[in-house]
Amino acid sequence: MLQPLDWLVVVLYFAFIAFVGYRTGRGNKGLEDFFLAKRSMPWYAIGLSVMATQASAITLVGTTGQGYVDGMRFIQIYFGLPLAMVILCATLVPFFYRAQVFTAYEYLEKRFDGKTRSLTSFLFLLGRGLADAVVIYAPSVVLAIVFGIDEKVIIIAIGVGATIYTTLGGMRAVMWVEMWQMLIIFLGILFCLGAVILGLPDGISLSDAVRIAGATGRTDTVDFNPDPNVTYTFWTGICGGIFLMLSYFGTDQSQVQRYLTARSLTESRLSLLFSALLKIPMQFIILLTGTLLFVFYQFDKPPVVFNPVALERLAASEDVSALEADYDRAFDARKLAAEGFARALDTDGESEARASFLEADARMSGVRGEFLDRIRAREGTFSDTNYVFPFFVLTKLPVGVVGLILVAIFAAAMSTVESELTSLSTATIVDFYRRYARPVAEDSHYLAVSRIATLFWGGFATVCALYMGRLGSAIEAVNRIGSNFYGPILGVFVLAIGTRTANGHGAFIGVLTGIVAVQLTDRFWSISYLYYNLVGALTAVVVGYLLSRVFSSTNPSV
Amino acid sequence: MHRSSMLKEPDSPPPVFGTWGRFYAVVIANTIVTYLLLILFSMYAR
Repeated sequence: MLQPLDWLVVVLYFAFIAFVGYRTGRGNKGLEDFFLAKRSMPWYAIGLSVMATQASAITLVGTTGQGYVDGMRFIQIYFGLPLAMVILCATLVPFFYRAQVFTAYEYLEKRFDGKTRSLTSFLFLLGRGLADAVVIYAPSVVLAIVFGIDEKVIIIAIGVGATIYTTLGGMRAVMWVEMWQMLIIFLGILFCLGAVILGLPDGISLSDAVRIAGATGRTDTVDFNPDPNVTYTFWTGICGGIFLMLSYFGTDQSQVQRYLTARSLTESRLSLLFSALLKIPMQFIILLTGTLLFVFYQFDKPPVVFNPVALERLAASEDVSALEADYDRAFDARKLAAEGFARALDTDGESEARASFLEADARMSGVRGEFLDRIRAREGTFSDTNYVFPFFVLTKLPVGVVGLILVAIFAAAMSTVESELTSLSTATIVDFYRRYARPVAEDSHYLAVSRIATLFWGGFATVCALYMGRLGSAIEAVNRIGSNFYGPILGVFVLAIGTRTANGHGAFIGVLTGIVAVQLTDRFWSISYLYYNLVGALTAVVVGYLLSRVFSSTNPSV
Repeated sequence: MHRSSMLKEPDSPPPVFGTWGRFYAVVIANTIVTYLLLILFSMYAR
């Protein structure tokens, strides 16, 4: 359970965020103020805000868990990010900035037509509208189970907290708050890494720990396997990852809106390059923390399953005492083998000790796998990856630091939620309300409806998150489909800035065809999901370009 | 060829990269170094 000092840290965090939001969010007068911070933000604030938007709470707890369970190969998903940032800085960013648009999709009307803008903006709203609920709900479940706080309290704290200062303070408040939230996240990550390293037993150095993890393959960060069906390899990271990142940072309003707030094009570019330089090292530290946690638990007995509630339910429904005894024996054997391996490093007996350790580790994984299989047989899909890190934080870190890490998780969740809220309300008001319902009105009117839209999306996300237990699979299905829109939308932007002959009809049909292509790929081709955006973008470009030529030859006025 | 470029000294070629081009090159070079460091890390840990 959390101690009073931890609660004090949490309360101080919320007070600090409210203070920053209030100080920086005063004096909004119109849409440019409310949605783009009057294009006045410096590059470092935007860069940190871009990173905070991408780093959700489930990224923080899930990635460390991934490091524990599967190792560091997941880092390859970010290999395309710096290259994508360079491509964006050289291509899309100048177009967006010079067009003085509020949304990425608004640019498409300037280049093509209203229907292409409305379609892409609608797809964004559809894809992101429910994603916000997932961003709130997913960490709330984990925190509720591990920290023993009521799930609804966490959902309301994240959802309502983020909605209040986003509605009142607008983009300027959100971005300054996000900058601080990202710094808190950095601090939390570094504290955890330090705590895991300090928690290693006497006689086990950091170098030993890395090599123990390395023996199990968990420190493999680069895999040159050319098979496109393997999810995380160097090639999927470079080829698929670039398109994934181009789609996300180039066409997702929640990211585009960040760099549109820059006070100059130079600062826009600098913000993206800043995050390009920091992202891989940051993910390395997060994954290394998870991987070192694996080593930590070689010497300190981990629970057989990190989700205590699922374990209790299993134990209540069937007798697992024999399996638990097996697990205890397997842990003792592995601990001895790990200690032997650490002592044997750089000696003649290293390979023999390594083999014994791997055998003991496989036996322990087997017993744990048996538990997981039994839980899956009862509850369907089950994974405890997201519970590893919070469990360690609560049970092993000192009072006060637990509060700090909890605050970092809150900060990660809220920074993503508030970015989604501003982008959803911007697309709603600028691409639909101002475009179709009230093209001309007073600034005060637009400001009022913008706040109502923010409030609506915040309320919608919070309510959906509260009922997610019942609506879970439906929301996840919509969310999954939504994530397939970005490749085709990227394809339209490639058509917009890369060709002169593409037109609105071709681009419109190109997007729709791209979406169908991604759905078919998802269904019938077991290729790594990192390639989906590549498939969607290429289909949209090829079909959009060819159809544009057909339309312009049959009707030159198109 | 344009007259002004014909008059340029042979030892002062036009810049291949602008300021941003150099900046992008630094980011790409840094990224490649990051990949190499990760490969070295994996090899060391094995």
